[in-house]
Amino acid sequence: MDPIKSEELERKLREVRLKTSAGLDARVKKLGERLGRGSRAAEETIPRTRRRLFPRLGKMAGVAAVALVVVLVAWWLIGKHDRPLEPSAYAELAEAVKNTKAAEWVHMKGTMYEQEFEAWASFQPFRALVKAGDIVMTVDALTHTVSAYDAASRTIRIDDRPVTEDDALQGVNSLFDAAMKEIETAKERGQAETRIEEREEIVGNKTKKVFTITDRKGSETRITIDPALRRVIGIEHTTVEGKREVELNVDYPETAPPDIYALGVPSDARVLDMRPSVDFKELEGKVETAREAFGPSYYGIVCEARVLADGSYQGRKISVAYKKGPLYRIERYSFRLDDDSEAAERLRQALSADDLAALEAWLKTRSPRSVEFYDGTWRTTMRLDDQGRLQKQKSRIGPLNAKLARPIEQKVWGQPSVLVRLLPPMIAKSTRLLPPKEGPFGELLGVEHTWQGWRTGDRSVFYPGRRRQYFNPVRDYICEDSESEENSNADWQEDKDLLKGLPADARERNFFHRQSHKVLKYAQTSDGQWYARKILEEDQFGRRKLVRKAIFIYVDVTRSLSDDLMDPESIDSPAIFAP
Amino acid sequence: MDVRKAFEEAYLAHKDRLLTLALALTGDRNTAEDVVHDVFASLIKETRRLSHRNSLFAFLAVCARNRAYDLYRKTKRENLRPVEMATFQRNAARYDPAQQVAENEEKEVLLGLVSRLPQGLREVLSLRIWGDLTFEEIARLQKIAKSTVHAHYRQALEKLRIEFAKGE
Repeated sequence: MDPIKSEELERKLREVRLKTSAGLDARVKKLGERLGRGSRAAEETIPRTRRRLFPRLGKMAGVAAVALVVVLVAWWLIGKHDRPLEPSAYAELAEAVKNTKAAEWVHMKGTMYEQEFEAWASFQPFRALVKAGDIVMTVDALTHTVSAYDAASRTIRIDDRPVTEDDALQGVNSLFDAAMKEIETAKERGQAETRIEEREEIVGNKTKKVFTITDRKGSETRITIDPALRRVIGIEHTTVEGKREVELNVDYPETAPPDIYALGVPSDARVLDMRPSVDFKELEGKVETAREAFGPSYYGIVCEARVLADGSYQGRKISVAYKKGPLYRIERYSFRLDDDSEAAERLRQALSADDLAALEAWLKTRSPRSVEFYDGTWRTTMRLDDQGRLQKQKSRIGPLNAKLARPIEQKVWGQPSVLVRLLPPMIAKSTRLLPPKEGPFGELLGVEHTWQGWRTGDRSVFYPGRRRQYFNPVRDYICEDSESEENSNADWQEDKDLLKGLPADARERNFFHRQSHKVLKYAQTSDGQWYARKILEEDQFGRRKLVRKAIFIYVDVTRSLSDDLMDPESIDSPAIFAP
Repeated sequence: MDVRKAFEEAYLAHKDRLLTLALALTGDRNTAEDVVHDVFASLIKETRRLSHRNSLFAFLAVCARNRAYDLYRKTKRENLRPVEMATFQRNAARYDPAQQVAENEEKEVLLGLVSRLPQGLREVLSLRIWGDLTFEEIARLQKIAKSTVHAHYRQALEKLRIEFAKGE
């Protein structure tokens, strides 16, 4: 298909016009009826109020001005006005935030995102018991156990999954981290971007210090410290729009409730234990070990190509990956080529002949759209902006995101099994080992994950799904065969109770999405590590045609990679990028 | 002015355009209808707006954007806690509301593609195309530079153009 022009696309978009449903029309009509009942009042309220107010405004303004002067003078005299932070106070604030996390137990109570929130947390190792609105959960990072109670189904679900502090505490921890970052910024660059003010308040016979941190966008975090305890005793966060999202009081009890039942969960609640078996975790561990051990240094190419009806390949995306210890550099190429162009023909020939040298020669004629660098903690992405200037974005990454970003490992071992277990606690998951099956390259060991459907807030639906992965133990536990399916009807879901989270209207939509992945050819690096050389991927969305993709992977562990290559600072010119 | 009549006329005049805007912003038909409902509920509290016919739609469009943004943030807070983000990003990439409404009509395919744009780009494009807001108005609303709005708009169109041409 010829690429559509922007103007034509704009015109097409403007022509899109949906019709409201009869239900919505009726709901809004009802709203209008409310107006009808009070139409006279509604019409007259504004002018009448104005008539009453205007004559008094002058008098009120005078009184207000006098009152303001009195308050300001009093405020100044008693010395409780907000003032810029003294340099020594940076340390006091930073220390208090750090001390908070060193306590045996931290108890937080208040409101969070318009709902009641209460939590007990202990940070070394991380454990927490949380009540947030209707959700009650306990987490233990040491055993990877998350228990979540859903009041609607009177069910406690116990999962095994990695837990982060942010995950369990709904962002309280991020708030502390963000506050610390702002403190550091203000300390380094002065208060031009981040403003920090402090004041003292006396409540009863206790003195409190209140630090107000206003970031450059205008959102405000207020941290209250007990100078005697040298710990945080209150935290508030107000958005740029002035909405108070977080308002919590903090204290430090010696103990916390012993379990989820102590937080008000009925003792006869149904328990769904979704933790995988020991055998399952053992296999999962072997796969993850193989994934992490790949390398430790390599140069590789991943080329994604659509398989056309005549069996030829149409290259779409290429990622060139460099790994050196914990550092990754990934160059992303994406292109749309006219099928009859010389470039398309040369790429087609290189892929059909499985010729790495020809592919590399072809790549030398192209430029990447972006280059990403990963150092385990940070991702730095370099690309051109619309004006052709070099743009650099740096963002913190989690360990999982880093794992997903590695194009070779991602294709060879498939998506990490733990991904499914990381679904929110409200979505029940189940895992099991499948009976071994014979594949073209030997016996395969399989695992299956299923998860329930769920309405994700107001916006959309998360459909029930099933994923089966088969790993080859004699090929470094590579994922040789996998199939995943999301299906609103999910006939294969054994526990029909799991479907209850899916609204009936969503089930009627007949949502269906299936993806499969099969290794067609293996290869070995010069030091004997296996990897998949050619993979066939199929993707089907509802009644749409099946899209078949071939993935070609080339890995070379013998090339020496310079430190400069892995350094984001080495790219200082826009010339290497595609416009 | 008969407020009730003016309210009904405003609804009839703007409902379809507002629903399209809301669907583009939220990516879900039910949520979009809720947004339209909430926008008109807020209009009841500001009936003086009904007398400014020329600027009424701009007001409604901004209300729709704010409501959709609130829902987006709420959904993100409720469901997209950092550790789960990767999974949801994967799922969001697959999410296709056009599929759920009717598969073969181009307009729904287009809306489906719009709903898959990153939130920032989607908002700029939707407010410009269906909200009829100027780049300056969008910049003020989003508290970003006008040039950034321009860039987001071009970027959104370019992404859509590529996706649309794939014909998938």
